[in-house]
Amino acid sequence: MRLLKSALALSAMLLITACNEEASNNNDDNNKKTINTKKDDKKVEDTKTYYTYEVIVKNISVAQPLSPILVSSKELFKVGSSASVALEHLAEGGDNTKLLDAKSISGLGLIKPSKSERVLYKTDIQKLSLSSMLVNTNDGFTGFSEMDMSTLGINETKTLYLNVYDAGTEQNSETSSSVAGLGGEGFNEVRESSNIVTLHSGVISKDDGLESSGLNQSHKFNNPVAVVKITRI
Amino acid sequence: MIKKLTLSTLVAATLLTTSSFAKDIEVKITNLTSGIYFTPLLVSAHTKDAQMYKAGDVASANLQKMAEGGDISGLVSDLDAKNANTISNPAKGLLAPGKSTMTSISTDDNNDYLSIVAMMLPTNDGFIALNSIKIPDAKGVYKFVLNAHDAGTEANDEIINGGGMPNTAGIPADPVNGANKATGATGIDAKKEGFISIHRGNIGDFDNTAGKSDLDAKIHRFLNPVASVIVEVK
Repeated sequence: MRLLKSALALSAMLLITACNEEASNNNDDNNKKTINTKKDDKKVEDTKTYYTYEVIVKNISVAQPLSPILVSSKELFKVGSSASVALEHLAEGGDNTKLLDAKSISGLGLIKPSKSERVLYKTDIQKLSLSSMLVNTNDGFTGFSEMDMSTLGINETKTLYLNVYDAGTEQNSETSSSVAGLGGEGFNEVRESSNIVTLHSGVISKDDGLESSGLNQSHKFNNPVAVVKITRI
Repeated sequence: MIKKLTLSTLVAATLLTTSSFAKDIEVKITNLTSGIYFTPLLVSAHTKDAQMYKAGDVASANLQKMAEGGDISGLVSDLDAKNANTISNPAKGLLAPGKSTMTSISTDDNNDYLSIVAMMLPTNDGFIALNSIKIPDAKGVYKFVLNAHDAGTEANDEIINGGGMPNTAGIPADPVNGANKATGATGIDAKKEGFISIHRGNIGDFDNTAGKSDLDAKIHRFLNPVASVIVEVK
């Protein structure tokens, strides 16, 4: 839980940075960026074209808060391949800071069931990736990776329904001491499980017969767990 | 004069793109589950603002009636008030696992969104839903898959006691086992969720006279998707 909290604080700071960058780019005409170089005062024309996306994520699970979302245009995961250490940090502890870089942004905090969050993301690549942990799991996460956005015109909206994946980096023991959302351990570098990303087979819970589980029936989930509306603005 | 004509043609063209016209559509609904029945289906072509619910929001009283007891009359009245084209109960009763039903709708102008709902039996307040999808303009055949939703208005106690009225706990019936339904369960969950979510599934147990649930874990579990819908735009 401590890990989750520090991740939240850090994510919040980074979002502010992301927002500021957004604001400073607002006065660009024709999506072109003008940069003042430090050495001489010559203006260098950035010839890249930028695309801005409004991303609204709504949690439609019953009792699985989503950890602060990470929005990027880089590859975050691939089903059938092993998870990166940075993704393992997100999937096991809800900590997205290892995935954050200059071209990624974070949501402000947990998205609780039935709640939404809206972020604006600016990129020069017409691809979107998103990731977030289901905090009441061992290493369950939702999202998508390098979704092609090139067919989305300005003011057009695309709606996605997100499935749950298992990072394959931690055994799904469901014990209170191992589930971040129950105050258990977050990241642990040991790769205990299959070590490949797959679709998640769901949680069992104590009510469903797993006596050692710290979860109850409310934590069970089925796909999809989130609705995402992406609008190019 | 020529200029005026061009202008009015332009106006007409703009109108064409912002409003949509009557269509004939055929809708085929298939129950994809292995052990869950659908109570009378509601199939409706309606305007965008007649959407029946949004996942994550609190269910309306009429959505609750449908989800807890299979009573679609309240939702039909809501849709009638918005001049929707609605077909009630095309399967003439329960739609059994693996079975399909078919219906046709002639939509009025601007009724270009399609919704389908029905209670899932036996569940406490589970329902299938196709939620206000835009009916495609082009002629053709389109396929959709539907997920199970939980109305969030009743606790998923999984006790079969005939309770089908809003705010009455329990499941109305077990259509598979009828009078031989399981009894004596102490209940799975005592708390309603309070908002519409994706259904987390039935749990069930293996005890017909006691245990936590009156549902059978071998029969009544399900995963998404739970139904498929094929829409033919003619």
